[in-house]
Amino acid sequence: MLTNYLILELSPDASDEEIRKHYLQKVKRYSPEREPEMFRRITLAYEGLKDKRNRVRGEVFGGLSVRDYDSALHSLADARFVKRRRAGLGELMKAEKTE
Amino acid sequence: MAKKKKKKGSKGIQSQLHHLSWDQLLERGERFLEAGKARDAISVLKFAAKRHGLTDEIRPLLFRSYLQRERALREKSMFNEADTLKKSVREYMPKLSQISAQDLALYLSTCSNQEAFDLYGRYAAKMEVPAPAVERFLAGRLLLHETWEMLSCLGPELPVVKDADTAQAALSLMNAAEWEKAADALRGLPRSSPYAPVRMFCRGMAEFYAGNDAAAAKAFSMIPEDFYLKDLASDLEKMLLAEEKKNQKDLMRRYPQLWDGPIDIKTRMAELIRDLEAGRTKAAEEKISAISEAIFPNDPKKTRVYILQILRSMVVQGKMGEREYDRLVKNLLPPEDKDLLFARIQMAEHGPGPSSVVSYLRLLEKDFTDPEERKMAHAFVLQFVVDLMDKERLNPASGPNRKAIRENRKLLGTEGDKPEMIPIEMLAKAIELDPKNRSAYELLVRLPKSSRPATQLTEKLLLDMADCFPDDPYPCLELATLYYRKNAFRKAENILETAMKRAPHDNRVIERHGLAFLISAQKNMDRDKYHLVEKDLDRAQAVEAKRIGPMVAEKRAMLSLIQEEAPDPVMDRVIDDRPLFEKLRILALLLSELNPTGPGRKPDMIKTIEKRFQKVLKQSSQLQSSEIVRLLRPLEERFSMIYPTLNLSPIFLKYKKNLIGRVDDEEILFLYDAILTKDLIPTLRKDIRSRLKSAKPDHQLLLSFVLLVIDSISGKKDVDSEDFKEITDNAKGQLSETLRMLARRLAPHAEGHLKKALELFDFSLLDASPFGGFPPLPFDDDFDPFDLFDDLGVFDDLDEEDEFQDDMTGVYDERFGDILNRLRMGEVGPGLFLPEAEKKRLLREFTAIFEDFIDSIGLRGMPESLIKKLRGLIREQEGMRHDFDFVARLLEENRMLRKLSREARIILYGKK
Repeated sequence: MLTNYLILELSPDASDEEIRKHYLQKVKRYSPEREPEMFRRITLAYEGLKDKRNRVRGEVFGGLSVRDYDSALHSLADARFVKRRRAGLGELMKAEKTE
Repeated sequence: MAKKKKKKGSKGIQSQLHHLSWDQLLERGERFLEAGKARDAISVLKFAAKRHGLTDEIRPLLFRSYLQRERALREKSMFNEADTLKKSVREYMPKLSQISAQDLALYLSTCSNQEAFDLYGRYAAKMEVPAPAVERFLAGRLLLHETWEMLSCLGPELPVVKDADTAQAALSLMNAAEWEKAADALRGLPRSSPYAPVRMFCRGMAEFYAGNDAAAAKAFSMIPEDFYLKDLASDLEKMLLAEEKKNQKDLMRRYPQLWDGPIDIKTRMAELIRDLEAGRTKAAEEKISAISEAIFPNDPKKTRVYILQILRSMVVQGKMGEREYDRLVKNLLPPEDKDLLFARIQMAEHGPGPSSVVSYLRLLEKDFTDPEERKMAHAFVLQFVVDLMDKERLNPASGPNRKAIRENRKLLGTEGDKPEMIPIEMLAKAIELDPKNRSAYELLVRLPKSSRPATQLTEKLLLDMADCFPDDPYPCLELATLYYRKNAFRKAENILETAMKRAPHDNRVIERHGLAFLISAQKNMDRDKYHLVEKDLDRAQAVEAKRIGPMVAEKRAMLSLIQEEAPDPVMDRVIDDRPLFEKLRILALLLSELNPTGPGRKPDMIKTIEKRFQKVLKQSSQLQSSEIVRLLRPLEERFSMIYPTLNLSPIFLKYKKNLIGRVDDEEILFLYDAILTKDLIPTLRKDIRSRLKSAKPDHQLLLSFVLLVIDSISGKKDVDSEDFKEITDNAKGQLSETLRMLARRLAPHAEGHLKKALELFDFSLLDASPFGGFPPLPFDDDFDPFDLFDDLGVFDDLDEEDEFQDDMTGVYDERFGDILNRLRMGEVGPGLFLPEAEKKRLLREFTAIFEDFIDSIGLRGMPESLIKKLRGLIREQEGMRHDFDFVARLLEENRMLRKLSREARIILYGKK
């Protein structure tokens, strides 16, 4: 469940509207033609979160329904996006110099 | 020592120089310079200058040598030595007209801004043409130090001056990380501009942020070696193209400004798993905290709880001890969250009864603060436990559940103690809490209902559903089924009319409408009211539901046969004009209905139909694979009201054994799962073996897996983890996923350890130590199992213990007695020797009956203490104690312990 929130970059108390908005943003960014695997993950995450009843159900058992801990933990790590952050030339030069 | 060596080395070179001519000395000096050996070049050239004087030829070479040497020293951070050497550079500086652009650029790199710009101003004036390398260097200086005023030293016609305004404007955009705008601002610059590499860098950064890594890397690679951004550009290029994850991560770490989020979270997660698997709990604890902070900085506790929930599967699989897990939870969560987690664990792991969910339901308020969500969660928990009870056929009014139900009526929604009513009442409560939850109604329909109150409550709930979902025909269809069961035909037809109004074009409704008439026809046929049957069949046909067309035809044939019409003309009339698929379905359905003892059934009639079936089956080569699959798959449950069996595959495979061989490889695996029964195992095994001869490697692996499971289920082979490892080790990627899915689908056909191993796709469970494979329960150190036993209320009174013993004795005599007698034959003496194979077969039979017995009394998944108590009760009967010890010994001698489930082992062998 938490993995789904991470994939859509949402906080666990996100509303239906926020969930839909983030989903649409994501599928626009990761189209099925360019990044099919990412698109699949986003769609699955949305399927798991779009309905309040589903969210509550996921919350009740959470990770206890997991059978393969290894892949569940790796999925959790994978789900945390490492986004590209805007950095200016000055910052980059500073980093390069300190190295 | 090193100095001495150097001196000796230098002397060595000089001694070689004495016999060289002027030209040779110059040539050697140039060669050393080209090879980057500035120190050797200086030695040779100084020797030449000493012998032949400091000529105009030798001065620029010495200047370049000292420049190179100075630069080398600066790169080694030997700044004092470099400053000393700079004097020599100046000493040997030739006239400006003799300095190459590269040498000048190198020289300027060691000068202050003022010096550099002054010198280039003079150089450009003298040479009258700009030096691109020098201008690029100066452009870099300007961008780095923003000393634009220095440009006043230079002539306005120089490119570095002409394009400065554009570059200056772009620089502020670059510092503001507006790389796209900066690239646009620099668009007008010619390629020859000293600022052109900056434009390329901006383009690379813009592509990087657009996610076009290849384009970004290409742009970075095009930045000239002598440009001041080259090192940075090279790092970024390497980072984007790095094949090895580690190198990439190192470079990402070097530029943390470029990333938002934990860069190496995957590595840390992999380390966490390694720590846990190696039992390093303390290290794991720290990592869980750190990872949780990194993943969800706003709410790390939520992540900790989630990770701990995931890690529970390690305990279930015996890869982490209960105590270690308990310690992790205690150290990572505050007490109230710990209680909540253990209540959830109890719900997920402690059997399917209501007793396992009560603790969690009591804590629900803490878990869900929003009242609407809390109701949904409550409803889901009730539905979950009812679903489990139904699947595992648990008697909810027995054992610890009885006490839980009595003490928590409000939470569970139960009013009485009748086993059939308890799940229906719990579902009614779930529906009351969350009336819009369709799946609760679907489960309600699935539950067995034989008593009048059960049917009445179900009817009420379905009527509620019909009100709650006014456009949905589903509740109407299910109500119709209910009414048919009650023989309330008028009500059923009326509700079906409502369904037709709600969804007139819904195929489900149309089909069910037709089926309703078929059900009516069947009832009338059973009551010998044949004139009504005809009418019903006409009405069923008028509905024109494609799927039930063959069934209407079959019922017509059945009616004619019952009325003693000759079979051949009936067959001609009913099947001749139909497609092959329908002919076969009609004949198979007829054969499934005709049994020699029914009314009007004569052996000759059955033989005639069998012959016709066999004749039509000969044309089966014309069938598509998918058609064969549809014929062999069992009929849907709803047809059980009109047919005695839903599984027609035994009829087809009895008359044409190789029919299954014509099914495509893509469809066969799931067909095996659909039709797998004990009787069909030899046929399926034969089919798999024949397919294995020509299957592609991937499919071969899947077939081998099914064969192994089938052999194990049928007791033909004793399998262990190694047998499965041979297959699973060769399955990678998607194939491994398919294998997992197949295992889960085959699991319901298996029992005991094999079932668990297939469910979890962990075949090491097959090798689990007979006494140590399962983890203990999560209780405190001072936990006394017998306290729990009392808490659970099992055998509250002595009568119930006696009742259990009586039951057990009955089962014992009826089911185990015969096997035990036959097993004893092998123990009596040489004259009555029992063959080993037969002994093993009997032991397998005993194991299966014993496991079945454990399921039937709801012992599966119960705490160890409880099972031990039952063991104690069994062992109070002296005869049974002797017999069970005898079988336990035989199982041990025959190495069959791993065939037993945890519960069976505890009963037979006692403590761990």
